[in-house]
Amino acid sequence: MNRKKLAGAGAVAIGAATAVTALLIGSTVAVADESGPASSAYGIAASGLLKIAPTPYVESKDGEPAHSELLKLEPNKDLSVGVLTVDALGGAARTSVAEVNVLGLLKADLISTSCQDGKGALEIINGSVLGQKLPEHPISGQSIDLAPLLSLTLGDETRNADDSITVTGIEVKVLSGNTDRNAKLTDEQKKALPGLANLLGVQLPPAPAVVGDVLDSLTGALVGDNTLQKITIGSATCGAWHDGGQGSAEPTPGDHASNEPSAPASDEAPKPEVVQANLPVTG
Amino acid sequence: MAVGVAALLLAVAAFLGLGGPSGGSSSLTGTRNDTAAPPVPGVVPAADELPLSSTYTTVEEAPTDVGTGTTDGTVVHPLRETPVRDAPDGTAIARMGSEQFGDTWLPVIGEQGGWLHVLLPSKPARSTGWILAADVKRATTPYVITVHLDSKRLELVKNGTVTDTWTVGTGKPSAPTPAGRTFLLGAFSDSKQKYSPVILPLGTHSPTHDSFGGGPGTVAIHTWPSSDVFGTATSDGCIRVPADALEKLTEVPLGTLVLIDER
Repeated sequence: MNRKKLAGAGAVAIGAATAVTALLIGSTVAVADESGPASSAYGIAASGLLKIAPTPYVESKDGEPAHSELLKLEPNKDLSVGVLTVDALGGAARTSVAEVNVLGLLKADLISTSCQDGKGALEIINGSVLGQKLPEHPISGQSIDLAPLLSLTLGDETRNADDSITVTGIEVKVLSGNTDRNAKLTDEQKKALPGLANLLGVQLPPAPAVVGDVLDSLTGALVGDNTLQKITIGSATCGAWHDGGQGSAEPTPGDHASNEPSAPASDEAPKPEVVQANLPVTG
Repeated sequence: MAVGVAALLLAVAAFLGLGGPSGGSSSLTGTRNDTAAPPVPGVVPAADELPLSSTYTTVEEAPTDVGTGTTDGTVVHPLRETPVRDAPDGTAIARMGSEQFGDTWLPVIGEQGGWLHVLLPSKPARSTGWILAADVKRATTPYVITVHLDSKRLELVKNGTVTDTWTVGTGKPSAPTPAGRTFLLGAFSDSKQKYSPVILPLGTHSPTHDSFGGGPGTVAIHTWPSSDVFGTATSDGCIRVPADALEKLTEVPLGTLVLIDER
């Protein structure tokens, strides 16, 4: 059986970023005489007022290693990332994005998102948002709500129709339309507003006090699920590759807890948590 | 390689919307592409093309639940967004997320291999689908809630024994509470609906109100400010219960079956 290390798929080492992410997927994966869903990866994408198509992007449909990288991407002085590397091959994909800076609010030395045999992993090195330290190995789908300015989802996973898994490293939502318009802006958030205006290319009022003041100057700009701007940093898609019953590769360090096999139905279901919602029912 | 690099630079620049906001410019200080594969626009997982199964949506292709009885109490919580299929390893017809009103829990009405047959919260009534067992967390609920429309009685059953019975209000003839097997979908407070401190939406909808009050016609269990509605068929489909019933039902795990019959 022809097996290769994903870490070796990229022939070019780019300093510390590659060295660190190489640790994420060090176990062997199948590439040649096996089959499974296509693998793919990209470093960054954005939708909303600022649009960035998935960049750099690679895909491996036949299991052959694909690799790409950029040394820097800075579409705006308030959004910049350093070295971006992406790799994909049969049953595995990985991306690492170094020197992340979003509005000066979200920073990280490295965000590594990987997927192997249908299992996802995320590692954030020296990450912080609004001064709050981000976990190195977040729980899959962990959300950080910094309303009204930002919300983050870390390591979210989606099962695709072809049974592959897409792991999204960090999804940043800027000014979600569902936030409380009367919420007061903190001093730190106010400091970030000039950068936000520059990022989105809009004029904001000189001294907004509440989030509604900001939203009012952005009327009509909301997109999709009422979020003004989405920025995705790191996405890796892979599925389990079949190798004639040999089993899958070893789990990667930093695997999400949610990837544990489905347990027998033994635990009693939890009592519901009463949440705040607005759904008119039939009364 | 030089051609490949140049092509990549051009391709990336084209995707950045350089004429966009604030005249922002991209700064590509270096790139290398061993596979010469340019970035591909519109990278969207196939699952994104499927509707999300929720109380707000309709999944016409969903198989209909033909059962009426209880199960072994297995309920599942999706750990990740996962496709809903029309049969074990069948065609993907929808997506199921992990949250709607807090964590989503679905009742399991069947199992085959690594696939679970679950009730869905989307329209039409009695919708079901199959999801991968590997994508869920399992648990069991000892409860079942039964609602008898004719006698207007609601029973809370725990481990097969009726522990509480209440007289309740049901839907009026022009907007009946739908009979069938459904489940507790959530528990929420809504500041815009003052009649009940907590509302328990079910995974079923009014057969006559395709929308109601701006909502999708979701049937729910909740209380009511005046007791004269209990024992009457006067609601627009919801099940109105006394305050002490709501208090107990709010303790029942999500995903618990709600069996509504005409008796």
